[in-house]
Amino acid sequence: MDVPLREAPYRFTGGIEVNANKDESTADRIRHTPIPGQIILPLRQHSGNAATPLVSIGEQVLKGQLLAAAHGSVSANIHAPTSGMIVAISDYPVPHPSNLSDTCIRLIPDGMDMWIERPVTERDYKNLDNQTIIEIIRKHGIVGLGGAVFPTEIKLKNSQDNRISANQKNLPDLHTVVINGAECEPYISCDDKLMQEYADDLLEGIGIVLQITGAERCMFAIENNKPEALRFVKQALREYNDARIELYSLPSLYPQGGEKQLIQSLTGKEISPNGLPLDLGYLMLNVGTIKAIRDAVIDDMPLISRVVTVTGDGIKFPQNVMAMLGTPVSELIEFCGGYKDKQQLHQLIMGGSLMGISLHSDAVPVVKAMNCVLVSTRKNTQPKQALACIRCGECAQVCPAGLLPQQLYWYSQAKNYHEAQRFNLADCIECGACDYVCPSHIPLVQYFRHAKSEIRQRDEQIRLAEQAKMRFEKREQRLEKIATQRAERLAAKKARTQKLASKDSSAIDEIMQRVKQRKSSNTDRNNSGDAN
Amino acid sequence: MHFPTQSSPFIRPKNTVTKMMLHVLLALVPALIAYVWYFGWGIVINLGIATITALLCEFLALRLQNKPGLPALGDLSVVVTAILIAFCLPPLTAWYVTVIAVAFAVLLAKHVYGGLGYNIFNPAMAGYVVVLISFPQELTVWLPPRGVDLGLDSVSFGQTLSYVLSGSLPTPASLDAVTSATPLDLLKTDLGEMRTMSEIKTHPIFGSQGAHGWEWINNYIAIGGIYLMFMKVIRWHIPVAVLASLAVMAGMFNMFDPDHYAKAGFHIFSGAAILCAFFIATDPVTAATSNMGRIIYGIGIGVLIYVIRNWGGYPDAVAFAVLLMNMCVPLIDYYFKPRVYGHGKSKTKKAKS
Repeated sequence: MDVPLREAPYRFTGGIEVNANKDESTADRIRHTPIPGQIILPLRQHSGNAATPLVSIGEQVLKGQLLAAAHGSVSANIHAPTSGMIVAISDYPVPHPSNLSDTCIRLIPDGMDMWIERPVTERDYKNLDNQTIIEIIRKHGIVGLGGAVFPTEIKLKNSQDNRISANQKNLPDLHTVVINGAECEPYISCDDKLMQEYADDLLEGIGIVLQITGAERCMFAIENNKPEALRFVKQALREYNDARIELYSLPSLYPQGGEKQLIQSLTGKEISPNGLPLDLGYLMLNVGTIKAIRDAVIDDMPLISRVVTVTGDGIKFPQNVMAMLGTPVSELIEFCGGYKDKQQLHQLIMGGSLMGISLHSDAVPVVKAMNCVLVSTRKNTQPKQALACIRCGECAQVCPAGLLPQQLYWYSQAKNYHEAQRFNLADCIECGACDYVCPSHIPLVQYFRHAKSEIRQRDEQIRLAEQAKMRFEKREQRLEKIATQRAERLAAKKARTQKLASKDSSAIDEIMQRVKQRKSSNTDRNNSGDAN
Repeated sequence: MHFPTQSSPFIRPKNTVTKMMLHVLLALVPALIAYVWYFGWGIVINLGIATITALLCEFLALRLQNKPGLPALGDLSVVVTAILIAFCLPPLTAWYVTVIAVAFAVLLAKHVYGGLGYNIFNPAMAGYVVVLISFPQELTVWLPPRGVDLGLDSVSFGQTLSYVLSGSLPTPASLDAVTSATPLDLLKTDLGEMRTMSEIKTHPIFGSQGAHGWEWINNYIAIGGIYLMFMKVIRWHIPVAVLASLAVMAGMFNMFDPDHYAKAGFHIFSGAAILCAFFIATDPVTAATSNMGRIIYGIGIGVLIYVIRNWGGYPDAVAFAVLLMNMCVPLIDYYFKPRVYGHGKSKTKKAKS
C-alpha cells in the first residue's frame, strides 16, 4: 500500500524563516555516550512537584530502580540510569533559568550497568486494558519531551476523562492524536534523528496511544526540511500499514512546532486562550514522548536516557547522542570532542537559539527536558546595542499570536501594565520571532517576560491586599459585634438600675418581701429538718 | 566551565535600521539620475547642502541632550530625511531655504519630540511645509525639464551653484527666463482661468501620462519603491492604498467632468504622489502600524492629496496630506489592531498549494 504524504492544508499566522543550522549535527547516527563518572538526578525534572527520594546515602542501586517517587498530582517518578551507589542527596546546580541549585540524588556508577529485574520485554500491549497501560506509563516516569515536561500519564488520563465529560461541557470527543515532529528551532535535530532511526518504534508508540485514547485518526507532522525523517517514517508506515496514521509535511517556518501553531497549520482551528488542544478534540505528543511511551509499555523501560543534540560553532564534533539522564553536560561535550576555542566561547544554551535558556555552568546534568546543548561563540550571539523603536511593525508581521509587540514594548517600558494586558500580553508565547526581525535590536521578549512577571507579582499583591482587607473587615465586624453586645449589656444593666431607681420604695419593698420569703422558707426547711 | 547568562533569543537579528535606511537611499539612486538628466545639477547641490545641514543638526541635537553621536548618526535616518527634502525642493532653491527646511525637520520636528522613533510628524514633510509657507516665491523656481523648449539653453552646474549660493544668475540669463511652473501649478492656474483640460494639455510641459520628465522620474521612483517592497523594507499596504485611493478619486471626478478634472494617470505621474506613496508615507515612525491601519492611513493620504490639489490653496498637497494623516495615526492605531490568536472569530488562511 502506498502511503500518501499530505501537505499541511493551512498556514499559521506570522512566523519567520531562520537559518536552521541543523546539518552540522545530522551527519552521524545517534551515538550512545559511555557511562559517566557520576550521575546527578534533580528531583524536579518535570512540571509540578519535586519527587520524593526513596533511597538513602550509601545504598547500592540497580539500573531502572525507582529512586524517587512522584509527589502530588503533577509529578513524575525518577529512576536510576545505571547501577551504582548513592553518594549524596543534596543541592546541586541544575539547568534552570534561575541558575539556582536544587535537590539532586547523586550516584557513582559501578560500571556494571546492571538492570533491575524486569518482568517482561516485548510485552504485547494489545491485551492490556487502558488503565494498566496508563499505570505503566506513570510508573516509568514518562513526561513530555517536547519541552513542557508535563507528566504524560496525566495528559492521557485527561484525554480519557474528556470522553466522559465531553458531552457535559459541550466539547468534542477526542478524535485525533497529533504527533509533533516539526522541530522548528534552529540547531536542534534530536527529533529528526529519532524519526530517522526509530521510525518503527514511533509507529508502535502511536499504536499504543491510539489504543488508549480511542482516537480514530493520527496526524504525524514533520517539517519539510527533514526529508530523511519523512522518508523513513513513510517507509515504516508502508510496512506498519495502519490507515489511521496520516503523514503530513509542514513548511519549515518557525515556530511551526508550537502546539497552537501546529494545530492551526493542520486544522485551521485555533485553541482559545488558556485552552488546550483537547478542547477541540486533539491530543498532541512529541515524537520523543512517543518513543518513551513505546519503550515503557513494550520493553518495560523507564525514562532513563534521551537523545540530546550537542551542537553549535563552539563544539568540535556536533552530533546527536543518546545520553543517560544525569550525565554532566561537560562530559557530553567532552564526548563530542570538547570545546573548539575556549577564548571565543560565549554562551552555553539548553534548547535552541530562539527559546532556549542560557546555562551558567557545564557542570549541570542532562535532564528530561534537555533536547539540545548549544555552545555558541561570541561571533554568533553577541548582543547588539538596542536602538529606538522605529515602529516599522515587522514584529507584528511575524508574531504567530497576532500581537503588536511594538505596542506591548511601549507599554511594558512605561510600566503601563494595564494597557499591556489590554493588548493581550498574556497571549505572547515568547517565541522570539519579533526579536529576530527587530531592526533596532530591542530585546522585546525580555521586556515581555519582565512585564508578565511584574503583572503576576502585582496580581499576587492585589490578592494579598484583598485578603488583608477581608481579614481587617472581619475583625472590624467582630469588634463591632463585641462592642454592640457590650453596649447592649450595659444598656440592660442601666435599664435595670433605672427601673430600680424609678420604682423606688415599691421596688425595695418588693425585694424586701422576696428576701423575707426566702428567709422564712429557709427556716421552715431547717425546722422540718430538725423534726426529722 | 562557566558562562555568562542571558535571556533568549540568542540569535543575531538579521536586520538593522542602518541597513533599512541604506536600502531607501539605494532605491532613490535611479530616480536621482533621471532627475539630474531632466532638471540639471540643482538637485545634487540641494542634496549636498541638505545632507551636511542634517548631519550637523543631528550632531548638535544629540550634543544638547548629552547623547553619544553614534549610533544615532550612523543609523542614516537623518540622511534619508535630508534627501527626501532635497527631492521635494525645486532645483534652484536658495541655500538658506534648504538649510531652514532641514534644520526645522531635524531639530524641531524630530528631536524636540525625542529623536528617532518618537516624532509624531514626518520630519521631511514638516520641514518642507515650513519653507513652503515661509518662502512661497523661492519654491516656485522650477526649471523646465530637458526636452521642453522654452527658448533657453540648459543651465550649467556652475550657473546652478552660483544661483543657489548667491541668488543671481550670471548674465545674460535672468531668473524669470529660466524658471517654469510645475505641471500641477500650471493646471491649477489655467483651470482658474476657465481653460478646459484639453486646452491645458497642449502645453509642452505635459507628457503622455503626467508631465514631461516627471513621468520618467516617477517611474524610477516607483521602481525604487518596488525594490523596497521586495526587500521588505516597506510593505505594500501604504503605497497601494495611497495610489489606489488617489486614482479612484481622480477617476471618479474625471468621469463626471473630464473638462475640469485631470485623469487619474496625470494625478499619479505629475506630482510627488509616487514619491509620497513609496518613500514619504511609508516612514514607519509616523505611519500606522497594523496592516489594516496602514491601509486606512494610506487611503486618508490619497483622498487628502486629491482634495487639496483640487480645492485647496496649494498645487501639490502631498506634504499637507501626510502631516494631517500623521495626526490621525494614534487614533488609527487604537482602533485597528490585528486579531489575536484564539480571540474572536478564526479566519485562518488556506495555505497556498
